[in-house]
Amino acid sequence: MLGVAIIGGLLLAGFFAPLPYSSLAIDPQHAFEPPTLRHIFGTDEVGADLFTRTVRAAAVDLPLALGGTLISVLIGIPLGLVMSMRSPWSERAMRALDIFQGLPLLVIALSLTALGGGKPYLVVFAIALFGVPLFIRLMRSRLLVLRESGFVDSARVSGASEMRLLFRHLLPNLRSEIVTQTSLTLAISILVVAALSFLGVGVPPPTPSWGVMIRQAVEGIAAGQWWLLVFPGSAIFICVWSANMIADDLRARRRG
Amino acid sequence: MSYRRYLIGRLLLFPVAAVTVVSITFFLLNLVPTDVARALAGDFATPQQVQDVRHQLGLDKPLGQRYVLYMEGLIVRGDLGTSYLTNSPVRQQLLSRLPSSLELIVPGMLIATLLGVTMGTAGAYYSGRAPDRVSRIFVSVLQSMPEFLLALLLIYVVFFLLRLVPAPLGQLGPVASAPPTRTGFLIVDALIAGQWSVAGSALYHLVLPMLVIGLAFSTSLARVARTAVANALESPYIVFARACGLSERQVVRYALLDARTPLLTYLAILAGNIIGSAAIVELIFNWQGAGQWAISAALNYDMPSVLGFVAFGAVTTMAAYFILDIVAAALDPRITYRAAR
Repeated sequence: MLGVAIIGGLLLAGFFAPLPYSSLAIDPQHAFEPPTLRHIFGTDEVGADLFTRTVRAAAVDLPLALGGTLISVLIGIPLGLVMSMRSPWSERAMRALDIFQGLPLLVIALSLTALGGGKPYLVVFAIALFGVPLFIRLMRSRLLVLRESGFVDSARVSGASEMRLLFRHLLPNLRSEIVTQTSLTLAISILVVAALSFLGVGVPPPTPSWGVMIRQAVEGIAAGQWWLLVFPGSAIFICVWSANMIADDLRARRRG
Repeated sequence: MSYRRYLIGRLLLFPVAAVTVVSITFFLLNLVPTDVARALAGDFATPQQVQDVRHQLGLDKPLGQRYVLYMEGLIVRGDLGTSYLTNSPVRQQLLSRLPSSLELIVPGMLIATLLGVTMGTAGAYYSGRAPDRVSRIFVSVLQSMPEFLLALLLIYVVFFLLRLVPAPLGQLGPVASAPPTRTGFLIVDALIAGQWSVAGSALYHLVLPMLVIGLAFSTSLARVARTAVANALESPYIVFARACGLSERQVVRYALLDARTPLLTYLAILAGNIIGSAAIVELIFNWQGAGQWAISAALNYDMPSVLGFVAFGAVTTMAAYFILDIVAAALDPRITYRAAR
């Protein structure tokens, strides 16, 4: 489980790693320095150490992404359970969900966070716009199949209540699929947090955040200041890749 | 259940679903505890000025009444309201931006489709061998990268280092003057006006953003194609085709034919929401399309424009699903329909 180690390690480093500089320390005389031994990732437009900011940003971006993932699980699973009841209404609701997922969700998320002035709880809810539909779909598609299986019938015959059926018999069967979907949702969440910060509404500067750092790197591209873009970009890439890897591993393990 | 009744059922069901999701968005945006009138009036506005702005935009009416007014305009007249920022009709602004978006998105989708289907098919055919591994790595790398990062990295490499494409400053760059607007499609307008150099410049500016969209959206298509073609290749139908002595080229062709329904489904989903998904790419390349317009509306509290864009997204998604239903059934006689009641 390399992916878990990478994300966990980055998160811990973001909070606790002893670093030589402060992520907010300004040193205008050494602005826009390319990577050197003193500043291994270079410095940004106010002369802050890019390595420090890249590491510390993990403590800002990853908790937001994890929070969004958690909310998606907490809202998506109960809604998915409700939607898995066979009724014409659940069919209709699924059609509405088809359309909902076709909406420009990023623009809605952006508008929500911009209206709220970038409050963290709104970023978390903005992530849920992407995550909740995924859990609803997963729960519904799997539960519709599971409800037809023999062990559900025998549990019913032996007098299990609907609640007991759900929590004792159905949900445990979906455990590994839920975990897989959770890590995929984490990957999406990291991307959403990065996009919102990149567009200027997620995390307010000067707080270090990978998306904000890339936003500030845009100007430097035409001046060849590649380090401003590459290091925070790699951080996002590594986190999303790790989360996707976790999901792939789990899928491979389930198939055996 | 006849095909025609099925289609009519879908035709009736989709608008209801679309109205539902637009309503959900309306309330979501209005539930954020913020004073839009104050934000729009600016930091130095007096309370009276804020009050005036609020009245002018109709924000002093209760939420329920605003909702009814908005939905009435939308459903009865197809009216998307008036922008808070420019005071001009949202529908007109959106439609005037659409040709630029399409000019970018259509070629981008074509690249994504070609690239995605090729990678997926190669991966499925050479399962476990080198082409499969290459396409897997390609997909997992691209999938872990936000589009804006991909766009900026390509700008750095292809524009700054290699100087192969012009600066990412819109459809023509700062010096060229635009041809007279006829269709709104820049390249078409330039050709109509006989301005070959302008058309050439427009094509030149299209290369990189088109490539970014092609690469960014090829990944999910490649995954879908790989699964679908791999399933098809294992089917008895392909075993039979091989037993009949068909060439491998024909075998792959038949496998692709068998995989068309999942591929078309995914393409429809992509086509339905690509205008929204490509917005951030438009922004980076300063492309004057609908997506960039929607992003700036969202950043500037222009709720009618945001809602208009969302409603438009609902309509394109509906249209894409509807066309999918027709095309998939026309191509595949095995599809039978159970009406959604």
